[in-house]
Amino acid sequence: MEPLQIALVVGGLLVVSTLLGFAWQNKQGAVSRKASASLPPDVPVELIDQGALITLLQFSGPYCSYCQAMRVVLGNEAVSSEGNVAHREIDITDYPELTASLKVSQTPTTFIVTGSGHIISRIHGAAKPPIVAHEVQQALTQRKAQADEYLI
Amino acid sequence: MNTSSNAPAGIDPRSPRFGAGITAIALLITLSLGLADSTIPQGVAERSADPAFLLLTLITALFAWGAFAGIKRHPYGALFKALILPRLGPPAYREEPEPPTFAQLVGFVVSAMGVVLHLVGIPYGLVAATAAAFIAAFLNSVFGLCLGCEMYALLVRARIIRQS
Repeated sequence: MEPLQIALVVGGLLVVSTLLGFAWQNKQGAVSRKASASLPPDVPVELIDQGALITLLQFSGPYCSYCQAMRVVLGNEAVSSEGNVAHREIDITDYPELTASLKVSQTPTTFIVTGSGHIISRIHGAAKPPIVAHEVQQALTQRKAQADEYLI
Repeated sequence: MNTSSNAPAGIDPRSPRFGAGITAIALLITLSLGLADSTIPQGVAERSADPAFLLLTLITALFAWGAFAGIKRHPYGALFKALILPRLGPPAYREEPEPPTFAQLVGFVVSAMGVVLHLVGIPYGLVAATAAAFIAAFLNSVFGLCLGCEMYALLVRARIIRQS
């Protein structure tokens, strides 16, 4: 091959790799909220803390670059919440059936769920602490508003 | 969790990313050499003397080092500690050693495939494997994306990987 052709191939490869990288980076930490989604029946009840308003259910794996970082971020939310927020972490290889029923194809994946098994939101991949804090606040506000409705 | 007297668990994630950067550059040089002379020589002895082949064999050996001795023992890690770490502050987060070690294994399999294909005499086998390995190393270094780790989660979901 001529030097110009080689430069074109190498340049093309760099462009493709960079686009792939940005596509992945954009999805990292994305949050989706689906109205009235419940946990599938095959989710064991012990994965949800019934005593807390919300549980941060983290799906990790044996080969996961950001699971440890996410564990710290979610753990800090639980510690600073005075018992309103619980953090649970499970390994996808221990619960492979849940990856299908909850459509988990990436680790970490985090679900914010209520004690009754209602999914409030889902965090794709690793999210920065402010994003997690915002989601947790939103979820807590929503839960407390619901609790007030019951009181009235 | 950690107590202050213990070293924090996990490795500095910037170390494998630094190593992946060196690997990505080496793979790009290999690719250029492979493209510059993409004719496959007749004999195995001639094929194994190709500069692109020699460089990819070296890269494959370094991947094997990281995959089988563990990322903590990789020579690029020692280079990072000696040259780069003294110029940086502490990392924002830490990472378990298993994901980058797994990434080294994926890199080893892909680059070893290129080595074998070239020895057998398959045209562009070396170039294709080198390009694939480059994409993974580049994404790892520049974006911190572990392509092998993403694949692993997908394989668990597809039930190709069973309970460990």
